[in-house]
Amino acid sequence: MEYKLLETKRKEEFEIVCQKYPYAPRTFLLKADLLRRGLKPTEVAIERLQDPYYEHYPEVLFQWHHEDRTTSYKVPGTYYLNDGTNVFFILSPPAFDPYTLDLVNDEFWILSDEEPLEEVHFAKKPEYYDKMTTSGVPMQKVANLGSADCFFFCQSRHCHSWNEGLQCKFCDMDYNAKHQLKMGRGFNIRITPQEVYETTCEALKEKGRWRFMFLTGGADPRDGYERELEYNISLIEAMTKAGKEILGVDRLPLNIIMTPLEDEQYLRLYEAGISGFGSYIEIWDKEKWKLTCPGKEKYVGYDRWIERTLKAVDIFGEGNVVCGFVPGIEMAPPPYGFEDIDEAVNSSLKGYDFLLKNGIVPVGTQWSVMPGTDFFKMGATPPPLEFYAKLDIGRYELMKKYGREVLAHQWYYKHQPLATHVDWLRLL
Amino acid sequence: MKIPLELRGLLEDPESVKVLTTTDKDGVPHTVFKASLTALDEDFLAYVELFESSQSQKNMLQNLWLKKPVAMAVCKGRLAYQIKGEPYRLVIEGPLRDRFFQQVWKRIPEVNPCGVWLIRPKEIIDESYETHQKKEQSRINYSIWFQYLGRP
Repeated sequence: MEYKLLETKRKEEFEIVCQKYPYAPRTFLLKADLLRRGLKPTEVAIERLQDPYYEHYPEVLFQWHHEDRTTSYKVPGTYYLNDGTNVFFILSPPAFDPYTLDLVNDEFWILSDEEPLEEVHFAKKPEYYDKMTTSGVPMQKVANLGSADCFFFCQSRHCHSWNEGLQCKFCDMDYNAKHQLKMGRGFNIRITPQEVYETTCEALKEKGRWRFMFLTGGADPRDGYERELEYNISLIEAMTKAGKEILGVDRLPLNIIMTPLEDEQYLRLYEAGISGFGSYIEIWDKEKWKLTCPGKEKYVGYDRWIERTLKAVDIFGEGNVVCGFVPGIEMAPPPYGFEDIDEAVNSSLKGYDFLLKNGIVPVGTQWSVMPGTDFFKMGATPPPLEFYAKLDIGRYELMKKYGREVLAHQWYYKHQPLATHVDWLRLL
Repeated sequence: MKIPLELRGLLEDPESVKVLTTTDKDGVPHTVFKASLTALDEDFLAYVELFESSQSQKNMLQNLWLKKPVAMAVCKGRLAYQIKGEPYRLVIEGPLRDRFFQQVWKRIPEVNPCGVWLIRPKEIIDESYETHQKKEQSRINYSIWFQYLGRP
């Protein structure tokens, strides 16, 4: 029977899935559902969250929300459940039947039909957030809190695929940049090495807080991605310099997510200071990949994408290379996705198995149906919660099969509020 | 349940011995020393979990999810308490985490702790020698029937 999110009751669906899959920790399923259905804060909750103690997400990479944030209220990025599960704050329209964020006895709680489900906690704003670079850019627009102990840089808020209308069908990057500019929130498209250096220095002064950082942003395929690579290397060198000066270390725990490269290019990244490499293949099925990621298909191609990702292991080592997916787009409207849950799940599990076998960790960020994306324009809605339960359990079985040696915990539950694979790692 | 002052003092004493018992999903107990166990205030106990991969960490998660109690014991000299409680929250970020981590790093600079567990006490039992002795002695005719003859 065809699943219709807009006609399915949140509470009923969640309880059915929890009962059907008792093996899955309830908070992991709740996280998947919170990302899928989103949140609707009450007036008192959102007003409390305006307290400058809290971190507010500067929306420099993707908007992540299922609706445009048009109010002047600031919205946090990550929040934490009592078991330490990190979840991203995603606003949703009423049609998605979102969960409610409210205050109960003066504490933040997630409610489902007025029943308090989980107490939640919001992140303390990093100390560098309100500082300015010498160029006059607020540092929070240079580096963002990623999660509990991670910050990240979005180096370019423009992906060249948008120039040709070849952006990935789920991506809102350029739409988001325009939206933020339109809302007058202060937004620069490209950050400079000096800004990165100054911001990294300030961030690292908060000693004992961080243990992971990454760099990502829009792709630039010109000259075989050489321009993007050169630019990224200049930023990595700036971060590495900051690490040496502030902490006296030669290398920071630094990961980059970009298009997979040639061996010689990987070496340059490693020498500049990158210890972990990631590329997002997004979806495993080859034909659906071509349809969903036309820019990647045009400039790299499916087979080459995988070949290059495999080669990254030779440079960075097993467990230090990740391959990203967008769990959920396997069930985007056909022909982009599958109609059947099992077919969708099995397609991705096949990819995860292949990657793990080759020393690559499958990671991901759960699909948000964001305004401005092609899927949003098609009227797409997230897949059933059961899809995520089956995918997570299947992936966990594979993780157990290949063992902790491959899963080097480069991405862990404290680093990734947008996906559940990190949470399942806690059970290994 | 409020934590009594005497117990709070005992928990804050660095010379006290403190242990924590958790159970896995099959109910198998696991007992470890937890030097950092202390009273956060009169409502919560707190300790730093040092390792993500420890059995205690796995059990604490299970015990939180399944609302199963954990047990703690603390003693110094003839003073001793047992506390039964419920895991309430793993704090992984913020001022509380920073404060506890800084204390741990003074003792073990190389460690990368997992987080600070908060435990809500549900039952506090005075296990001190004097208390047990009084209890024993309250039995009728204790002095006639409970004395080992010839003990030093």
